[in-house]
Amino acid sequence: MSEYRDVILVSGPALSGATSVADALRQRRGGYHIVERLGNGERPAAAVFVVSAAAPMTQSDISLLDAAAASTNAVVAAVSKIDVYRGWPQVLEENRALAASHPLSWVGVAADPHIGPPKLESLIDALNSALARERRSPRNQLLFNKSHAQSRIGDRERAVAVRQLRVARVHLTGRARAICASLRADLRRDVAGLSRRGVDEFCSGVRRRSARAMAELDALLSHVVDDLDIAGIDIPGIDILGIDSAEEARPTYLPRFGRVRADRVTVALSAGFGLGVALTFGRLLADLAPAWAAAITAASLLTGIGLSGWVIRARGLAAERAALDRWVTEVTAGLRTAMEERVVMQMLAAESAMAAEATAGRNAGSRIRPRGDRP
Amino acid sequence: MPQHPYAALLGAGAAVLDDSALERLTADLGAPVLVAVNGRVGAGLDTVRRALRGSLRAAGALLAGPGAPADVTVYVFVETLTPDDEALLAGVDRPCVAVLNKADLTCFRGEGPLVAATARCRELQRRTGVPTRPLAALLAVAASRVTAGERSLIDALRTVVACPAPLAPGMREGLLAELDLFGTAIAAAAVGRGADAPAVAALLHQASGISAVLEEIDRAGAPIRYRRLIGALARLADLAVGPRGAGVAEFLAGDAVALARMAAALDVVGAAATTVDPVGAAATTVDPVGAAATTVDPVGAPALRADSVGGSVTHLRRAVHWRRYAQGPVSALHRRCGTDISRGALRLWLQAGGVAEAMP
Repeated sequence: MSEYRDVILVSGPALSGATSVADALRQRRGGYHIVERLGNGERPAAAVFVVSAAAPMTQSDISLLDAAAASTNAVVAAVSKIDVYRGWPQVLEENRALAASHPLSWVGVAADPHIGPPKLESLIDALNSALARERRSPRNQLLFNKSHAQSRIGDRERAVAVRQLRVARVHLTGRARAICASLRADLRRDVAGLSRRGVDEFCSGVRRRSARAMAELDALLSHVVDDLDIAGIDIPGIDILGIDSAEEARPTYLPRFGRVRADRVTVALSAGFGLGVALTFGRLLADLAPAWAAAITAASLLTGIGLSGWVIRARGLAAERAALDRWVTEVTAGLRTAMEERVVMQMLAAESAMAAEATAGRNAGSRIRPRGDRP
Repeated sequence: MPQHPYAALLGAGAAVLDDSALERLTADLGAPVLVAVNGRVGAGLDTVRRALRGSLRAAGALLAGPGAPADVTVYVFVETLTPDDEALLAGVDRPCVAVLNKADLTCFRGEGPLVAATARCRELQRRTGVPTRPLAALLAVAASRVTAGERSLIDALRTVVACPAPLAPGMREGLLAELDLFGTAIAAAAVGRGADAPAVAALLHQASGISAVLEEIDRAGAPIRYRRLIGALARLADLAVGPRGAGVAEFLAGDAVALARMAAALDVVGAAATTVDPVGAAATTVDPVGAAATTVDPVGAPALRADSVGGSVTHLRRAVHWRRYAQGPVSALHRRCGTDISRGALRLWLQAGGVAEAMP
């Protein structure tokens, strides 16, 4: 208990005189450790917020005051340089009005005066009474610890978390690409050996397999998010972000077999080929055996027609395979885009959850959000 | 005594323009630059406005009413720029001058408040890129009141010097309210040395730093004056096709217009220079858009004074320099200014006896 009681935090905006006040307090309040910046996890017994008497506080000064008041209840606000700025009582009153949300005692100080003797008595009195009040009814330490550990993330923790998020994003995007690349390689290999009868089954197989790939990514995402669960932030899972993975993964169109013109060309060429074969062989054989000429001509014609049919079928299969190959490439590219979008959405959700948590922690230092209380 | 280029322009215009056109040209050239004062609450905005109100008129500028559109913004702050101030300064979309008010209370050690405030302003200007000057608006107001013949301040100072102990509380409060600590100290010391009212006023005026602020406002207004001149001349071009068109066209192509444009353009490029040595030493300038750092021609800054002393070679060299400047990586405004200066310098070169050679 005593180690955190020892610290008094003196803070304030640039050129406010916080350093002079800290130096003066160091001389007058030997029993306390006066710091201008808190160490990690350090909790001050009291905080002195110093602001110059040159002009009333600005919004950025008020944020600094909020930060100082987040760590302890015993906060004394001091208007400094009252030896020089004669209008300090008005500035003090305006500051009091500006910081009306904080129950503070405001005092005027001249810690390192350019004119006249130092004026620190009122600050020390206010600090003593704030410390005494805090000793009588300390802020619940358990509550502070919990809130500190669970709700409010320190700067360093935030930095670490942000770095982790970035690493996770790179890792997940890489995984999504790898999944899509291997799926595409598999599918193209299958396309290369596909028979005409297997086309329909192959098309439904592509859908099934892309849905499975998406499920694989989802599993990976939730695993990574669980690992990322830093300091008790609730990161919403991808499943509650309103995206249906099955819908995402389904290819929205079938392969396009645009074959009408190609078919005509194929038919013409194949017929020519068949006719040529029939004529050549028919005449050759008819010359060799003139007696069988009629039968040979008929057989050659039939062979020619058969050959034409076979060439047409082979050409058709090749064209279908090429169309399927293109389709597979498009489908996997679409899948990859969808996967990357999911990764980005999930990371965005994690980042905004973290930012919201940090803001909430700054605004209300004592709020508790126990871990494991996820919706 | 060389005539101001604007006066020469109006003189030349009077010969060819009809009354209404001349009147409009005079109004356009003489229109004041509107200055808006805003800044941090409690930084002494009202005092700065009061200090500027009288002095701006002499500098060809005018204080804009609250909320009225203005040409130049004076941003008032105290001690240092807070993150809020910096965000506001970054968002200002017109020429801006930052003013560190209450500079007389900056520091009472070392070399005194004004030196400390000037050093701080230099540092802030380096950080923000906005010209920043210290000001003790209270002292500037007091100086103008003493100049206006108000006796109460001088009387109070004489009383302080003669016999400080029994100073009436009212008088003491009055002195502090009007001069504050530093002002009272230096003014009382001056009165003790036997200074009269004008000397005290001059001292307070000098200590207030208002001259530097006015200079900075004048510099910030240079692009506005240049644009106004260009706009006014462009409107006159409409008349060049009328019944008296030939005269107007001749006027627009004449030396008076070229030299007036050159003068306004030199103001603009001089305003962009972070330091322009008045005696003409080369100085580094930074383009307002940060496009390029370049060098102000040694003869560039005091160009108008060089009219008679600079030989024809100097004018030609200047014309070449600014021509090259205009072709360099500078903003559109500076490109135009460079062209105008180059053209003006060529006119001066011709006047000084330069002979244009035909291209072989």
